[in-house]
Amino acid sequence: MSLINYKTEKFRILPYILLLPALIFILSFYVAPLIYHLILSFTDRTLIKKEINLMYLKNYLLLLKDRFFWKSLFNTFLFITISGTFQLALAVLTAFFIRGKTARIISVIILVPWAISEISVSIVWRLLLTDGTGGLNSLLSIFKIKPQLWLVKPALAFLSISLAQAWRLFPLIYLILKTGIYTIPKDIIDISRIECLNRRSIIFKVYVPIMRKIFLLSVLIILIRNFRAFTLIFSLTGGGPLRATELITMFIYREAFIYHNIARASAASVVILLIYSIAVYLYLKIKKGRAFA
Amino acid sequence: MHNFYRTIHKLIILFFILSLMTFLLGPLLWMADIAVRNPSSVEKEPGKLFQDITGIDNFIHVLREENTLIYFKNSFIISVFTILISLAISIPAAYSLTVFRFPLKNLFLAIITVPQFIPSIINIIPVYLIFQKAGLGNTRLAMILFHSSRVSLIIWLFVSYFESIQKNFFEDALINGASHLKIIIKIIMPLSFPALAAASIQIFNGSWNAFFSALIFLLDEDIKTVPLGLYQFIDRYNINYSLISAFNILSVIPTIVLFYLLKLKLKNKLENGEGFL
Repeated sequence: MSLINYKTEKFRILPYILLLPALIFILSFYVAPLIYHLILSFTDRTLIKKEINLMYLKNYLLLLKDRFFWKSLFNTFLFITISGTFQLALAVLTAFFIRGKTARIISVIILVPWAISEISVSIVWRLLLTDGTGGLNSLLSIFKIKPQLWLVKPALAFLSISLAQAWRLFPLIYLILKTGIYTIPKDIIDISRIECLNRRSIIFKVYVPIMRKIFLLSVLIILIRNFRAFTLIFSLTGGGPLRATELITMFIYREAFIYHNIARASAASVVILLIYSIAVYLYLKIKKGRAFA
Repeated sequence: MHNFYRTIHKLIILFFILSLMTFLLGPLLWMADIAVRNPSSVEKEPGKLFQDITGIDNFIHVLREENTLIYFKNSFIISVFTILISLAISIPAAYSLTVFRFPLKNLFLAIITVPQFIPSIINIIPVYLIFQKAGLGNTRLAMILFHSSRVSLIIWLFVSYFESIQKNFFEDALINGASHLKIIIKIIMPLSFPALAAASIQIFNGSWNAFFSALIFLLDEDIKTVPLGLYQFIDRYNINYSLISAFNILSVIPTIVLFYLLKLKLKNKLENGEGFL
């Protein structure tokens, strides 16, 4: 729709007035907090102490020497890789190889893991993974495999949280891919059918090139989404055993609200925001500003 | 030979569908099974599905717990006010961005775009400090305000919907001397029911499911919400999985019902994946 351009005095400030409430909220809950973060990261602010001293870059230097910071950063990237692979693989298989009536039924069911809260997802998975009465161990016992400690052994715990996160997030990736498939013009498929391409060549020669951008966006959404994972893992493992599943978000939470070390948490937030913004920048660039529905 | 390959192909697809269904529904069925069974039978023989069923006893037990209904009440209060405030600030903003052309518009677009990407773990710490200073710590209002600020996607949902409305509706009304307020109330709102429904449900979902902000903002037992109650329930009944499952099922009923009502009403409109980021 073309925009109405008002030259009269009366209308000059009206658009700003209409935007004002939204801007006030966004400025006070996003812009100002980020600036405040940056300031706090140069101080020694804690949750309790009121007077603040300037520490310059000391928080950042301490952070770079903190092996738990590096461990949680490493865990985050490992988590994105493992869980993201599950998510993408499941979503691609489901979106491309199931069609017709089954696809319609699946796109109804698939909304459940996505609609319910992360705490609910964590309970669903706790029931499966707990060692005494867990569903996974019950399933394994049918095949005479002895029970595993899914949430206690570090490597298994990491695999468990990746699977649980995949269960929650692959529906989202599926919906994005499916929307992409809907947008492919029908005639292209018809023409390639007439040209006697078989199904595999239709998928790889027609779908994939058109879908490349959507794939790229899916990967970036996986990056962005998994980077900020918190609740599900917090509730399943609490970052344990021995911080084996502690992600960067949990590191910040621990610094701020358990050790009460706000300044350290701010420094960590600033560092990870810089890393995170690369993914966001790429996402916005590919979407060419139209970052919304 | 060709037929043989086709059968194999079909079998592989069938196998995949079955595995996918197990992966999707298995966890949910397992929870449903535990929720309707006697807790002691779950503990003794977890693998014996749907044995020793107690019906809705576990659900009633959960509802009789002293705090359960308080959690639901708090979640409803927070969600309803969050919906009202979010709609009140995003509809005028979306109207302004759709109808007017004005200086610095792109700057405002950017300011509205970026917040959706900021993880709440990052902006919640300064917001928490500010709320503490303002005396808003440990109140439901803190939750309402914090979640009302997440309007990026809602504003854009309205913008893309308003753009689909015929522009002569606006122009005719303006020429006939209608005020902008009148246009919003009399023309846009009645036409925008699907967008209103979709936006309300998205906002509801966000605040109903919010755990992390509740963990930080809500400390007193009488203002806690459902997700926080669930989290404490895991600690309190750490062996009694039947009660935990029952509470969990009760907690997801509102979101599931709303999601499928919307899905029925709007068919595929919600499936625009970008709205889910």
